[in-house]
Amino acid sequence: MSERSDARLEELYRAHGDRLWRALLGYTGDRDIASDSVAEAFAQALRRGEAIQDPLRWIWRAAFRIAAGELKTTRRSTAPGRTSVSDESPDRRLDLLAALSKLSTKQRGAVILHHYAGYPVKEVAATLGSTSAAVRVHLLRGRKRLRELLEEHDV
Amino acid sequence: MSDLDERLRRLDRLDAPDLWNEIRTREPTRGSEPWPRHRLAVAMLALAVAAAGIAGATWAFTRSTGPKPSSTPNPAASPGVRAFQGTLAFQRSVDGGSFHLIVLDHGVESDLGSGSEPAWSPDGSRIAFLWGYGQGQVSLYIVKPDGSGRRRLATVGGFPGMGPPAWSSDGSTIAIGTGDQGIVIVSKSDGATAVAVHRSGCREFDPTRSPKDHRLTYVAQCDLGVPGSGVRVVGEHDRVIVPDQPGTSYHSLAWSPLGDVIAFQRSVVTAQGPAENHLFLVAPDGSGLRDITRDPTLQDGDPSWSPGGSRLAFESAGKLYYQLWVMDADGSHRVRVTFGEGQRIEDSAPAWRPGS
Repeated sequence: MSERSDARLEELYRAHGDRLWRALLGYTGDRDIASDSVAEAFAQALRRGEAIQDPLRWIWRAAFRIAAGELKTTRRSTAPGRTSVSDESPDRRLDLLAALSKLSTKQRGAVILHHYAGYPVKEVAATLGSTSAAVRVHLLRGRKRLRELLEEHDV
Repeated sequence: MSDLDERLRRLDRLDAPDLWNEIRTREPTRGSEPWPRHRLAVAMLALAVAAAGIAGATWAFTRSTGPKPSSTPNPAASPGVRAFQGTLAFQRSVDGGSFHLIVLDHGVESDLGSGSEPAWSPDGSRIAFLWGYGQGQVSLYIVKPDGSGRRRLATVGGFPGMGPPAWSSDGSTIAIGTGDQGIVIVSKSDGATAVAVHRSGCREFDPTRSPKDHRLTYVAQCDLGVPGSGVRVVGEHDRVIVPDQPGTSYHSLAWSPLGDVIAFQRSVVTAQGPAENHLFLVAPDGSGLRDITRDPTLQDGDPSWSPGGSRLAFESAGKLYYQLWVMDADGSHRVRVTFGEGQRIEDSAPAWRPGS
């Protein structure tokens, strides 16, 4: 890896890393998976150096892909020591995270990427490996479920 | 419920860990291609299972047992709707249900049944649309504006983020952007398909076609080492008119009926807030690139030209649910057309009927 690409990626990390981590926390509900996905995606980008044409887009997609794989793994076996927001962590005070954890993975990914990160529906579809029409349906159903959950919480 | 955007902004209060030292010293341990094709295929298969409801509706639709067309006065009629003197086709989802095609004709709506991503034929007599997503494929249908004459023309390879079809200026063929399989041209008469544009290492999508000649415009996203990502025009040559830039993507191209300008959606990732989705115009030779979305907080997309080329219909998601708007082609005089948020209705992907 060259110093130039290293510096470029550090600059990207300083500018976008926190936001990516928070998006992944919303998507996974798990600080460890969010941190691991961010670190792995950036590490892979560092390894590739100048070979990535659009690092930011590549890193967002890679991080969400890695997180999706981790979610599947943790569903199969719950790793000890995981700090899920659905457990007794301070993040639980963020009722949104608790509500997000009750959505399907696709709905959660669509809501976070579209409404938090601001990606257009087509970009969300590409990131999640889905179609525009399916993403729109995931968004609508996810919002409906969130509304119900948050109203319950507000009561 | 408080506004979802406001709730999501609370995520920004969380302290994120500084991972840079770990990143610098970390040995990558996993696969490195975002959504490699075999994983994408698996994801598409999973999607197909998850979207069983949609698939069921599709099956019913292809068997002509889907929702019957119906005409009703727009329940959300408003000054905005009444002020809109034209005809739009668009897709609607009610409370998270699957998409229906809606024709809004001077304030009166007709539900044409299941469908998405409509596109009017040049003479306004037919609507092409997509339906039946699943297992990496999608079907192209056509229907008359009154809901009669529905038929499936072809089934082609589908891809994530597929946009609407694009008619040729004489109405004889319809182009679809399939991504991995390039821009596919479908014959309206017999459904025969042929690949019009595809380069190895690239994915081509969101075609739009010149109303005056045979030129085709599309978006290309290419692998590293394969030049030419961006908005491209195919005429005598295939060339880039808006090059790809880091953190930027292009979508939803629409060639104006006068042939002098192309509208499109540009998405730019930002560090401090959501990505910005604005509408842009550019001449077919790549000159005159300009942003016509005035308000940076708005999320605009899917532009469609009025028959005279002076106005644009588009979707905007200022308050969570996409609704339809129209504005002058310079971005001024934004007027909202649909008002379904209160009924949890989302309207998107507008197509303005030629001659209306």
